[in-house]
Amino acid sequence: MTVLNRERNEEALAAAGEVLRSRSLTQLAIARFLRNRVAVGATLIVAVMILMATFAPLFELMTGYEMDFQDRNFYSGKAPDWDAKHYFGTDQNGRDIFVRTMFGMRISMLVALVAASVALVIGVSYGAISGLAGGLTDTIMMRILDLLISYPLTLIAVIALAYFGRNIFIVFIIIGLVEWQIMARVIRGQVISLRNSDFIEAARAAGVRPIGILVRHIVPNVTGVAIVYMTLIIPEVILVESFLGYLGLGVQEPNTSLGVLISEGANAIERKPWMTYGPGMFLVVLLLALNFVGDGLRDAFDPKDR
Amino acid sequence: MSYALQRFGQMLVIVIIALLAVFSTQRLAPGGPFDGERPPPPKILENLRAYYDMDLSMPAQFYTYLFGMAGREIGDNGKPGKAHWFVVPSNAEITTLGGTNDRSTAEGVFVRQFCPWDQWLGQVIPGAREQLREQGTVFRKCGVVRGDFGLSMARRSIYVNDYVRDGLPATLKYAIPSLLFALLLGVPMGFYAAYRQNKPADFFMITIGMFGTVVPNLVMAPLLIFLFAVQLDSVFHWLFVETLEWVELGRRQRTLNWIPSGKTGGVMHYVLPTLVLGTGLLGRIVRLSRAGALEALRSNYVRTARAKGLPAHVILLRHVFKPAILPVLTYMGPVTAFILTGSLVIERAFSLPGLGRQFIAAATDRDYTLLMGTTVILLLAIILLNFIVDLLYTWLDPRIRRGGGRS
Repeated sequence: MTVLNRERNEEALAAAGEVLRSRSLTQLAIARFLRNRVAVGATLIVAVMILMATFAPLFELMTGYEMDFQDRNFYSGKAPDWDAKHYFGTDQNGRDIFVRTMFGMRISMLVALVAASVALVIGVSYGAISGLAGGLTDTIMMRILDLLISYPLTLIAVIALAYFGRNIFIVFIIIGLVEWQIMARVIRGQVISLRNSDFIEAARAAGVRPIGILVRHIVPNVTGVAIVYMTLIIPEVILVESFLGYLGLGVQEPNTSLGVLISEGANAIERKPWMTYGPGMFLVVLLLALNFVGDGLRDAFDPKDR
Repeated sequence: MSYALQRFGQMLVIVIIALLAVFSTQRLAPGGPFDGERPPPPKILENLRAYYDMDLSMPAQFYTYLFGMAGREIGDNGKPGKAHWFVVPSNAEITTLGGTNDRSTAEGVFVRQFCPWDQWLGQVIPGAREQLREQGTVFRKCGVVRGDFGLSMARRSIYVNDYVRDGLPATLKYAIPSLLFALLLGVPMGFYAAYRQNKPADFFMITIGMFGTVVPNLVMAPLLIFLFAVQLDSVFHWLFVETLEWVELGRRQRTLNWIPSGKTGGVMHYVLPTLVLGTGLLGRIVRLSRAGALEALRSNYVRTARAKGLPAHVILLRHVFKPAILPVLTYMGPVTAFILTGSLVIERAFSLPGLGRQFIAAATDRDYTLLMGTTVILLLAIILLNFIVDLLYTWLDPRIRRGGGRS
């Protein structure tokens, strides 16, 4: 822990513009996060990527509409060409890879939102039920969780997608069903430690009903952890989506995802390697940045550090 | 001993639950294995469905899949009288269903090795040929419990056992080397990084760990193919064939193909798959063993050992190794999962005929029997590895042996 010296304290006070007596745990965590340069840089990268994905149609306007059908290289794909504004080249249908990558990123962002939320809901409810119930229920639920962690649910997702998945939201929900176990375990631990803590004891002694304890004390205290672990789930979820897309089970044409693009590129790797570079780079950078953000948030919120 | 028995019972339950899950998903999902672009005529469809027991009730189907069936009558196959399905081993060929792969001899139907635990194995059944000629097809299903996974539904002359027999070695040939590669390289790397914490070597190892964790298989595979099988190949071609005139190539062979990127063949065909899977595993194992070793290095007994003046390698091997390897072992369950999901990607990228590829093909073709069969095999692989890990764990950590608290 760094000790705040007088100058820095006063700087902080001046910046805040008001007299601060104490800072809440969240404020402390945010301050700790902001001090982590790598995490802040990664957050910026993620923010830029979100913006790029959001404004993907603009890139299409920029490059997409001038297709030169007379060009004999049109259908064989063109190497990256900055003058023609094909930054990542084109594919065998003459489509700009950069624009396609941006649209693929949109799917990744959607997955991050929808699938991670599904995982959040399942993980939090499973963990909370297990932690609050205690006793035999808890034991059984944790045994099941232990089993699920060491078995690849991704394979089940492959089967489920092959049988049911054509709709994009079904794809997302199935992906969300894969990645919730770690969340459930962490939430359970948190709930158990809260349940045995003094202020819950005090609330119980004061006659607060269980539902009141749940809403007023347990939920707010679990939220931070849940959000942190959700950011750790997001890269996993994006990875699962691109994995399924690579196998041809994820989103279908005309939609595309990073995994689908990489799969297309991999098929043409000998002649058109640039088809893999762009999407692959974006996927790796996105995963890397999200990992750093998640790790930074976890370090910042880690109760052990307080 | 009772522990092993308990684990065995547990694994039986898991396999049955997983089979039940896959089975019910298949039957409840829309579509079936026989509706392609050109569905078969109704009569043949009826026969097909009867042959695969799909006309039975769902519980009966599942029971038959597990325990087999001696024989049953199905509807007429266009000949006078009823067609009987007789008690003859698993693989009589299905003459009524279009299969011409008749292995009957003058004496009877030869029994191939499909029920590994069947009494009919390798025998010739007298009289079966006549039955075959007069009454349609003879066959018997042994069920999964006797090692018979049945006949594939998409390619109706191939047995799932054949698929597994061909696919499992192809998968293991790169899965096991990559696991060894990751363990034998990753654990020492992690230990070394922990030993030299915050030194350049440590940062180098952390970078490798990050790289391996973050770059997914599906990106690594095409990149390595491009680098080794395309770019370096042309470099070597230029060097050895054009400049040094060292290698004589056949007229039609245009590349050296020194590290091939597709299909099976010699050892070199498995180099790239092993590398792709291995680096992914390596990254994770480096991170885990580094974390474990760091924790062990901070402990009091290591400080004592250092104070005694023990040399570094003794400390690392004797005091740090056991506690630090535990998190790596705990991770072996997810590692198996990683290998299996990775095998789907790798076998597609390198066109390897392994189990992962058959799994995908089965799922997309709605090949019910093949999917169930590959699922069972994959599950057994996971269970086996977890079992080995458990045994190692009890050996390494005496607290578990005594039935003490699990952390």
